[in-house]
Amino acid sequence: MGFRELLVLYLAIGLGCGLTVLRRARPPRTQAWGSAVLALLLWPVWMPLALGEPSATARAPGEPAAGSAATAPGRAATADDVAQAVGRVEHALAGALQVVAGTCFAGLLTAEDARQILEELGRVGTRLAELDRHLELYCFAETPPADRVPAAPGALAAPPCEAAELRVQSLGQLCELRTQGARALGELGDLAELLHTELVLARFRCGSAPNEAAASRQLAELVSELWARLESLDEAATGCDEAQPLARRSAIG
Amino acid sequence: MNTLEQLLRHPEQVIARCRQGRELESFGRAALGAIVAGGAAFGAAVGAFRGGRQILFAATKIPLATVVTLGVCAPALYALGSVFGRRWPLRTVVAIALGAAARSALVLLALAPVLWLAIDLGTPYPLVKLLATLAYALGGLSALSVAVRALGDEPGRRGCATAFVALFLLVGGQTGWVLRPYLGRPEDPTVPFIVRTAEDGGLPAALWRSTAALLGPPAGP
Repeated sequence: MGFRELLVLYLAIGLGCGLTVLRRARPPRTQAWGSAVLALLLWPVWMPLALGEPSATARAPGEPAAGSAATAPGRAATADDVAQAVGRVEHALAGALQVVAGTCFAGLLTAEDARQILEELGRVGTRLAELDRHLELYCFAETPPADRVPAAPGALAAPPCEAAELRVQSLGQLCELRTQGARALGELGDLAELLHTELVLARFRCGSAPNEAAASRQLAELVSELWARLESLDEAATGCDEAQPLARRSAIG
Repeated sequence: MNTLEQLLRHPEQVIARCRQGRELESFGRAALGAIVAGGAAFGAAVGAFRGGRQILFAATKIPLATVVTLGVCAPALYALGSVFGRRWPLRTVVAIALGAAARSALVLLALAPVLWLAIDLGTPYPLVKLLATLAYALGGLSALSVAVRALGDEPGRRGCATAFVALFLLVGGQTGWVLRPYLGRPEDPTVPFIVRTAEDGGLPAALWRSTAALLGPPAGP
């Protein structure tokens, strides 16, 4: 096969790839045309990127990116609400980063900040998944532990009943902890989405220096709030490891 | 610009992004832009040795060589990665390879003015060739550092990195050989876009012939 035949074959495959890229992007936008041209000329390199997954903007809100922390195997045991909340934060942060790129607000939320937030979030998600696993193990995931306390404690006389009650109480605390964590994570998702929206608003509304300064202040407060909530969530998740066993031991003793 | 800055200063963030599969399309655009811009600038500097059309020729050929090498190597990199326990999706492999090549191109972009200055000061042909090779080697090392970091600490890192380097050297060397000349010998009256010769076995055969000539018996008087 000569050079010309090879070139024709290469471009024919490229044409097919370009058309595929255009068909996938409905309606075809300027960006899709650019992607199609790249697919035509550089299909061996470009096609895996163009067809690998839908772009962030094409994903439904709350739907986590493929291979992202929310869908990582280690998080498989996490309940849907936690995974959804993590996905919402990830999606909102990715959107916020895109919005601030190249603007005067770029310093408020850097890629490094987002990475750290997601890292922290991953830790919290893992803790909640661990809690879920424990609760599933004890079959208390759906039924509140309080309901499982014997109706007439007196029927089980002697110390074993006391120990069982304590155990039920502890499991109840675990349930409560898990509910609180999931709720806080949901609020964090709301806050991250608010930050994203505010950034979009600030970007389109900013025209003068005083406006920018005011918007920057407000956005900085939102970012600080996000961090503060994340830290308290992390503290709550890690704190139980040290505090709860001690309390239980002293109660039993 | 943010992506390119990350590539230079915090390649680990870029690697994390590639492995998570986040916004790879926009990353790919930025990386390809860097490859074309950096390669073109370096090529133009190399072509400045002859001047005239050769500036344009070399500025076209260097990014072309990089992109062709990446295109040929991508499936092999995916397979090699899987063999060494890196079961990444193809898009992740391509994105990491593009990132590494873009970093190398940014290094070449930074070194282009130095080479241009050396040529402008009248540096002789062999030394310009050596300087260009050194610049390319530096770019290659910066790309290698990205690839090695991407491989992580899991077992098989060294073997995988060696396989990647060998593959890139072979394919990149052959592509570069096919697209030669870049500098153009001073004694040649004209320099073509590509040297059209009969099939000579490419770079491996040329290296073999040179080695044989070096080690063979000296020619008689």
